[in-house]
Amino acid sequence: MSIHTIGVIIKDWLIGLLAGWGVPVELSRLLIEVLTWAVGAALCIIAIMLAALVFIYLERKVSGYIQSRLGPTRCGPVGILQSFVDVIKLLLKEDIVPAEADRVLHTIGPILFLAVSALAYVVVPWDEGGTVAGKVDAGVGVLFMAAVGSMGLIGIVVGGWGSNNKWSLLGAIRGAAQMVSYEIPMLLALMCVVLQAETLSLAGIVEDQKGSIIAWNFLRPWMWLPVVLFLISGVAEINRTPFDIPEAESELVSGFHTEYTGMKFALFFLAEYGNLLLVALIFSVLFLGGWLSPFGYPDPLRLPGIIWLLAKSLLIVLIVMWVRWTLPRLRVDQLMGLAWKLMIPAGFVALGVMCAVIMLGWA
Amino acid sequence: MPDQEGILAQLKQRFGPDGIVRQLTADGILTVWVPPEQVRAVLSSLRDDVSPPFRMLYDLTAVDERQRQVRPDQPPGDFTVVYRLLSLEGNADCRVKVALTGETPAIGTVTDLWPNAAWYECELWDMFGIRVEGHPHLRRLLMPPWWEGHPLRKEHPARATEMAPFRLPEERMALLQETLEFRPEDWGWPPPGPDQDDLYLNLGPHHPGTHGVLRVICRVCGETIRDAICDIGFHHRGAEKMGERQSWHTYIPYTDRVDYLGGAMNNLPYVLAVEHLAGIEVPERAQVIRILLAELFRIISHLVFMGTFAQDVGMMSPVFYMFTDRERALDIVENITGARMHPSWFRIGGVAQDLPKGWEQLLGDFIELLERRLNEYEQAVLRNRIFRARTVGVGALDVGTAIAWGATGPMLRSTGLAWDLRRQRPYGGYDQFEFDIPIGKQGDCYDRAVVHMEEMRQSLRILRQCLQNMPAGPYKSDHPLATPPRRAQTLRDIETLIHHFLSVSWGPVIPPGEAEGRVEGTKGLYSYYLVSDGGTMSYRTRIRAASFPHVQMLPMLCRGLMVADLIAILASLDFVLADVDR
Amino acid sequence: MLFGLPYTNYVEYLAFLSVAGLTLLGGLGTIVARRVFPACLWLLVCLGGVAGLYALLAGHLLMAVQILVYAGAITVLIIFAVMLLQRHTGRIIMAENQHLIGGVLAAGFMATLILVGIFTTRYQPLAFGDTPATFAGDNVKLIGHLLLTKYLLPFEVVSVVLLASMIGALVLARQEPGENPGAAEAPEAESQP
Repeated sequence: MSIHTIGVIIKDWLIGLLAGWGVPVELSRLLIEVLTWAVGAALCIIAIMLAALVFIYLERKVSGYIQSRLGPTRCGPVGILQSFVDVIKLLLKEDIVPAEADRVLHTIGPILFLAVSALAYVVVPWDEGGTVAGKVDAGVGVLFMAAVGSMGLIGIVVGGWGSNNKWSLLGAIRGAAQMVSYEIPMLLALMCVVLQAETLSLAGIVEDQKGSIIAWNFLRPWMWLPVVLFLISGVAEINRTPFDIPEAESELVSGFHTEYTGMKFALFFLAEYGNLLLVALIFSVLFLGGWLSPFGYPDPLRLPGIIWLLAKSLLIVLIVMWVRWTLPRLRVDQLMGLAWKLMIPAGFVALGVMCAVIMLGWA
Repeated sequence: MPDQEGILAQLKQRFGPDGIVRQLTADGILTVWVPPEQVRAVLSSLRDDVSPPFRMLYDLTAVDERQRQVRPDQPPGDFTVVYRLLSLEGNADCRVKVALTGETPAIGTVTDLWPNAAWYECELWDMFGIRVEGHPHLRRLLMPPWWEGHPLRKEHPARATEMAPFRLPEERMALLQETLEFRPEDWGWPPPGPDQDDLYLNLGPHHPGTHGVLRVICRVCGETIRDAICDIGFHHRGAEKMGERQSWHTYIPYTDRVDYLGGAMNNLPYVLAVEHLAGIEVPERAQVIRILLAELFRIISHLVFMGTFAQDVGMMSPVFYMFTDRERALDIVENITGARMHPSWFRIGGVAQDLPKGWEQLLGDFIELLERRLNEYEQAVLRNRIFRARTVGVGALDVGTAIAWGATGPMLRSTGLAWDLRRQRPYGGYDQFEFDIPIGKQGDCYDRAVVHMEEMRQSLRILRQCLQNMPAGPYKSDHPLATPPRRAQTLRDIETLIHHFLSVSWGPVIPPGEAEGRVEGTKGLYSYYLVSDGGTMSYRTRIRAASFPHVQMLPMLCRGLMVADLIAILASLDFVLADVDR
Repeated sequence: MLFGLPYTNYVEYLAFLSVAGLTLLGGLGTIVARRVFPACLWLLVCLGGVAGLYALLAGHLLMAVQILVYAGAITVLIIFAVMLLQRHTGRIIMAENQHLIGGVLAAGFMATLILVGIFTTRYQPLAFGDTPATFAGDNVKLIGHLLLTKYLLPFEVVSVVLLASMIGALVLARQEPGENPGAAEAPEAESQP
């Protein structure tokens, strides 16, 4: 049973219930529509929160494993409650706003960052027909995702600016430069997939890969370059090592969120892990067949598609974490050089190859 | 050893036999007195004309002579300024002394001869109140700008009990805070304003990239550093002043904490200097134990260097591996000495106790383990392409500049000059050991890392030789001034018992004289210049720390580079703030 | 049904009013804000509102492009420029309306153009509520096709204008090699302890 069918069942039941109370069908449909949006929006936020809860623990355990440590062990068995304790701690912390900071901007920075991150979840196809906003995705899911993703740095910039701290500002400037630059190779890689699937809809891209693992995009040779490009620029978009220069602990103290404490800091944190999951999800959708089972369509194991999607995403997340705890950080000019001198030309090459493949009719 | 007479003769030939007066010191370093008006000419000719030329200003300090009792055949004066020069190519030392009279005497600057004199001369003013004329920016260096008095003058109290009770009312605190404010005008930088495109970035004293309390004020344009100023002294604890109120023996624990990563390595130059003064010969076994611990601490310090270097360029994991290995090394130290970071294990005339049973096993296992792990680190860190991109060619230094700025140790060797004190002037038994001197090519951050890595291998080699050839015999000298005398002896004869009683309750009385003990430390050359006035305490203790000139080079190294490079350079300098500020 | 209209109409009215209000508010804020950075953020609100209007008109592609290009890229670039100039040097750039007459003229010209456009267009009657079926479909293909056939020339001309402005910006921003403050200056080594 897919998410979509569950949604339809709940909807029908609610309409019946309201009709029984004497509410006109047309009005109850409208009410339920509005309710669906609200629930969808809430689901996006919840997804981010869950992602953060799981990933914070996971990251600490993974880094512990990589660094021959144990990671958290004290809260609950094998430290499983660590994230909850962290959340409580962050909630209880004093919210400090620097004296000379712009209070309004300082506050809306993290909110914007999280909001934008949540917005992108709207178009993620969790399962067959299981996008939070079915209609928006219908045409332009990929474009919407890219568009919203590009807004993410507004939050960073506003927060870094509003803190009135030179380190925050440097972090914000670095972040802005980096995210604007890496959007381009990311979009070029996306374009290859779009050309392959001949649709801008993320759900459509998954549909295009229907079949077992052999039909997935990452096994098509002309997709290998886009896979690499997307993974690298994805890591860059979410500011993780080796591209963590907006935070760059040893250089910029903490970069754009130097002046944040308590819940505002937690919002940044949440959104960062939300973005991590988002990139992993989008990568899975684009190249790993999204909610499709590796054993063919329909799934012989009859597992809900969301499980497959999450499993694939988890794999990507683990790879990204592995990279983070292994590699050093690039310098800001090297980072820009990588984007503009290597990745963007490579992106155009990938796009050209893709076009050639389509012209030759191999796709 | 170099031809001291030859150098002296050259000087006398140039400046006449009257101007140049030789003083004999316990360490055998050529020491000459020069009249104040000639000092500049003498120094400049020592730098350029004399053969071999003394290209490096190794140290510059002063002694407040006003309370000194025993100073035979020395010109009278209230203060003595001591220039300590080093000739690397000639492998020669020279000490030039100038006698100054008056309450606040003055002397000309030598910053135009040696750029690293700038900080040393600031220290002269700060610590002794000696005005340096012509200095580009004479200021309080180690003490805060509001400090009254000059701490190393004899009238300045050494203990808090000699001072009035400490009070800090609100208004005074505000005043003191104000003095710490950075004023760009003082440095010839334009004040911030509408016509000023540069940003003044205050890095530290509390910043994750500075490894301690170092403050660097950068003038950046975008992310490019146009200029920088180092503000040090936040870690100043008056180690030199404390030397004047601790007995010769009880000062040893303070030395551990100067370069706090070097641990027992720091004891060595101090005890060497005291042994020079007292004329103590150290038995062989004690020498090898000292070398064993010193090399162990070199590895310990270098592991921290590698780990934090990797972390500063963004590699979060290696620091954990290296600290794990460091823990293993510290375990050995603990098994031998009972302490970990600061064992204070060396004694005047030997070491505190003999090695424990089973030390061979511990050390052997560690050497074997670390040899393997070093190869892994080399692959994980030094061969990482991003690491190389971040460090190769960054903060490069050529041999000439390095010498002119007083760089020593790995910093100097990374520029391609194979100059290691352990090889050039074997001290404390190093002449018995086989090891190579690793060098770099272009003296950049990467080469510094490579040299450190290779030095760890060489230290392991030395450790292996210690393991295989540990001589038998006493671990401490029989000399009456060896402190404290060996326990077994004190129980046997009354003479040693008396010595024990005196040197423990009162402290050993070291004969008057001057001596310097030098070692090739973890970060470069370390030396203690001790002046004894025939008492139980040192009259003057001068600590020449390697980090001091290295940090002084920072503005020169980072100009025109980016903020991220500054952090990489800072990490590659391998400094310890306690060492810079003492 | 409420007052003879389907409920969805009210929702749509509500949505339109809020989005249009947001757009106007953003535009007003952009003009009124004295400091440049908040003005940029208001501009962002305004552009976002326009994207919302597109969405209401079922122009999903336009909406996404609007966000991607204007809100995401252009505003960020403006903010970036402001940040580099302003906080970096401690200066606060204030919006100063020095060219009042020119501004009024330009605004009046634009307003006239838009009004003429509004009143001369022949609208096809379209009932509320029945938009999605005809427009929500995949109009990406249609737009792409039109851009590469019928409107190819205007499209390319616009591209050339953008290219020209980009080169112009580069020329303006580029520093001569000699005056580059980033390059290593003659080291004043001795004098800087």
